[in-house]
Amino acid sequence: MKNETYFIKKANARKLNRYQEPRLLSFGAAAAAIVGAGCALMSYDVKTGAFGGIPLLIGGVFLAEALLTLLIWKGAEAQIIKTDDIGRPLRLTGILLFLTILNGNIFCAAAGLALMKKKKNLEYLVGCYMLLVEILVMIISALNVFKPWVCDTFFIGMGVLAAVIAVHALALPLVASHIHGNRADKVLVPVAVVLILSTVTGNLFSLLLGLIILKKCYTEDEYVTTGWIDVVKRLFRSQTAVLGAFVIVFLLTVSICANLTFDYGIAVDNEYSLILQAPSLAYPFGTDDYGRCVFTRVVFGARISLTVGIVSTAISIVLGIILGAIAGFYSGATDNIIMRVLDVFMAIPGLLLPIAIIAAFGTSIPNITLALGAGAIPGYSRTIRASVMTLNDAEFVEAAKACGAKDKVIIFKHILPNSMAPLIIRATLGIGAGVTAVSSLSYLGLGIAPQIPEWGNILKAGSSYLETNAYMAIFPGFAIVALVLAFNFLGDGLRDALDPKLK
Amino acid sequence: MKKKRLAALALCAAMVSASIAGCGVKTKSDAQGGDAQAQSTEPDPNADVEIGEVNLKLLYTGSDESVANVVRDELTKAGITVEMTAASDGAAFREQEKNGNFDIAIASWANPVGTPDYGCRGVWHSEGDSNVLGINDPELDALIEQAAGETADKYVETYGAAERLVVEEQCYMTPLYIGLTGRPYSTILKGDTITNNQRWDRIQYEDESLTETRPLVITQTGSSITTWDPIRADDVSSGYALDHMYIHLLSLEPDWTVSTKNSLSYNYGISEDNKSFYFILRDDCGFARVDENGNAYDSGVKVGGEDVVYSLNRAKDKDSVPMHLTYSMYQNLDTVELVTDMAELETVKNADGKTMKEVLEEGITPISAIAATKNDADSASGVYQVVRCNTSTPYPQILNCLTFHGAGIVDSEWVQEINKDMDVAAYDATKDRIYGDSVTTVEGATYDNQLSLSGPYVLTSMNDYQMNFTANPAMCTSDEDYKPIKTIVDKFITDKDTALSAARSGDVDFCFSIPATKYDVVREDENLGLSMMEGIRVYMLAYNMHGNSEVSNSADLRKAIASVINFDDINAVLAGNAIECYSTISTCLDAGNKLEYQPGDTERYLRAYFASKQ
Repeated sequence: MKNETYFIKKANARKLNRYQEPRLLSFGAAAAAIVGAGCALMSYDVKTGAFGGIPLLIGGVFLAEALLTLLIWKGAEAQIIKTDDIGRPLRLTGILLFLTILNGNIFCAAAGLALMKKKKNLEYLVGCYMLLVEILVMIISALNVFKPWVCDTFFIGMGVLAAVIAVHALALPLVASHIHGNRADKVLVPVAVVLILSTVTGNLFSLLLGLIILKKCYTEDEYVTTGWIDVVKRLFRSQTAVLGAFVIVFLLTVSICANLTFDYGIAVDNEYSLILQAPSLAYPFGTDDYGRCVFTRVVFGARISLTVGIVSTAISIVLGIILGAIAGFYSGATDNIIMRVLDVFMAIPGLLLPIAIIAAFGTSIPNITLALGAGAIPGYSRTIRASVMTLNDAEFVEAAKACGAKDKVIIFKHILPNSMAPLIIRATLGIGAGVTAVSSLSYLGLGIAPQIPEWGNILKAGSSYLETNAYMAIFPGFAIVALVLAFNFLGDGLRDALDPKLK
Repeated sequence: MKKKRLAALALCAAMVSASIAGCGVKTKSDAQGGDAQAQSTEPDPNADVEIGEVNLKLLYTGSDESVANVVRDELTKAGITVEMTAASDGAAFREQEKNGNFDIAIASWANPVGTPDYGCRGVWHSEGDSNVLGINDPELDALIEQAAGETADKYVETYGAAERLVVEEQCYMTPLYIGLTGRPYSTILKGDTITNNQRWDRIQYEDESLTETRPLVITQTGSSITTWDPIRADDVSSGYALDHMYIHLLSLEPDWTVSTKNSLSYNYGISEDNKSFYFILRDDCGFARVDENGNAYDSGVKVGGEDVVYSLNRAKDKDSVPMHLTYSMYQNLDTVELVTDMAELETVKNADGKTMKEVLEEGITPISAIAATKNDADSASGVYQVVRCNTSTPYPQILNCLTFHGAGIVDSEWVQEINKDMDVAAYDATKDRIYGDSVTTVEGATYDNQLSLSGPYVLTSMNDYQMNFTANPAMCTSDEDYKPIKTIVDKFITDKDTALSAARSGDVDFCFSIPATKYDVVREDENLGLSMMEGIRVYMLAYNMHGNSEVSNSADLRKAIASVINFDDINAVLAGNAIECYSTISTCLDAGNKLEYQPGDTERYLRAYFASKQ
């Protein structure tokens, strides 16, 4: 008897493993439950000892949605075990789950989108996330209508967003039905071009989707998989990595679209009649000690945090690669000189170097970016130097040398492309660290001018009101945590996806 | 195809909801019509002048960031570009201010003396010791000199004219606010003994039995103590403690009037011409010293007229000690002498026609004789010492200056003995030891407490974290009502938030200053009380008058800037903890002036400014 149940269990697990839905649904239910419980906890008033208010309402909605997702998940599991399929009625509940996007529940909404479609390919999944990003941005922007007034370009911005969503929503089923394994029908070429063009909103998912389609349209041998598409496929198998990518792309899209749909004046101009207002529909994150909308400030703050994080990492990567590659390739005296100089850099504590650079050259966003970039160079050089040194003795490098290739060609064409994987992972994590660093500098008063919305600045303003107006610090704090966590999740996912052993 | 329909449906829903929301939603340009109306109805002669670009550099210190932000915001909304420059600390700020490295600055002026003269002379007078803005106006100088010689009933008008000149006619500075200061105190203290210009000897426990046994723990922010010589001290670190270490001829009440409570005088009188000031001295105050074990004891030496004459003469003499920091306050003090002739008291009259003898013996045993030395004085039998101070010009405000720590009464023989080898010209702070060097009071190898103190509290020792005080055993020995708390520990806590945390956890009983944003936190704490009082510091928007800035040369530009400053905005950002003011003398004098907020006039002033540039 015992053996029989054991084998049944194994067989069931095998069946379940073939489907993505149970995984997505369970992740959605768990994530929504965590968010819901968090909101409910936040609604606890320490002084009166009572739960209540809008956070409890939001928490309740999330918990209810988590429960719904849980039921659907269990239903799907039962059906898979029984019939090795998920029935139409259950698939249609995906629509219900998708509607949870209206209160910002991306976890259940993503699971719902996946549940709706029976035959899912990578393109459909990417497309789903692309749509989710846009819809969420639109919902966030729509919150502005509760304010006394919206910016002049608001309706244009919303119109553009709606149009983009419409085009993408129409393209999605087309994409899903015209891709066959590694080959795509040529009719998708214009669709891909449109998708790539619509990346101006900042939605990198649409760029990714467009590139995948183009690659598949022009693939020569449909039996050979493309390396990077494989990596993306493996990446999309990890729920946390996709969540990380989603958060990053979402923030990028928001910070670009905010130029049209949000009013910068609300973020920087003092409004003396609205000082320290608790969160409401008009001011979802409340207002700060100068009557500025914290929500708008957080939205505009993403711009600076992301830019500084990404650009400073780019600077350190480029310089780090060049120095590391030269040191690793030539070794000997060159290696010694470069690495010892970098060792000196490395000996200076993390934030001290940027602080010194800012003190010497003054506070400005370019200076901060350069300062943070300079501080991170040694880490990247060491990583790349190690990979280059191991590859130096590889057969393909020896072959290139034997063919008489120039050093430059060997380094940049043969060695570097093969040592990028650890660097990409490091860079993803590095951007997260950059975001924290720029916020830390602003928090210390060394970063960006206090009225400019930047997450560290907003957090600093909130820190003196922690006891009386906690929301002022909680939301920018969450934003920083979410972005850094997102980069860490994505970095972890990339490490798995790029792992050659998993190929 | 189902998917397509579904997507279209979702899209429609989104668009419909957007358009529904769109109805009735105003855009920014819809909402913000109609500019402020000009106050003046006169036609503008420069109506056709185009307003160009104005760029200003706003200098401020970190602690004034919120007000600087309001000023920046108001100027920006008026179309003026503002570059924010935060000075790292007060010293850096003053340095930048002195060098004229700014256009406008958030400046402040504290008036611990409580006289209008102190409130304006230093900052407005062309020779003022704190005139870092570069104001140089002969008319203003004349008004300040004139007011200094007048009594309270007359000088209101003169000071009123002076501040109108500064604020409205020439616009050298624009008033921002006076802070409403909240001081948290433990509920074991009597709330009504926590007052403005706090004197430690007036603080009382609710439970009076604790007075002898429980040390009172208080805080102060300044920790760089250099000296315990009252005339060589700055006001930030040592000044606060010095107020309590030396007795004064008069003491300052919370409402800035002078009184004789806990001071060296029984009574005081002012001559008819406002140039002679008489003080009849107590005979029950003595100097306390500290033994090698750090215990305060009564030295047996009385505080008397000889000490007063010596102390005030060295207070006004710039060369009496190296690095004299307080002499400018006593420049008007001409002579300080002991009165030896009873006939003088019977002939000199005050403004009410009473003789000085009548004024001085009010409420005490009538004067029978004048004591020749301090040891001869005996108040019970009517033998007193009387001191007369003369000012070169009529200057009744000197009374307030006598409450300031610079006029503290030191032990004349003791100080002369310790300083006998002192060479003022060749003084080297690193080697020479003169009276009051703080290093002698620091615990450890250098400890050699040589202080001889007349005030209510004796500093027994100090370290990097705190100063320890004991009540002076020789102070007011015949006054049965005088019962100060016996031991006081004054902790150095630089950060105001940390000081508040210490008070909330019960480590500290009284905080001198906490962030204005934390008053609500204190109000909600059942173990703390909050005493709210009008601050002594006036915050002003100061203009660079050094001549190296656009604002120096154009009163119109200054007036344009002034016209956008709205007190209500500042008050809102400071959570209602601000009081409207007019000038730096507003803490102690209200001449009835008020600066109206006039946003509609900004453009007119700016046009006038650009017209003058053409």
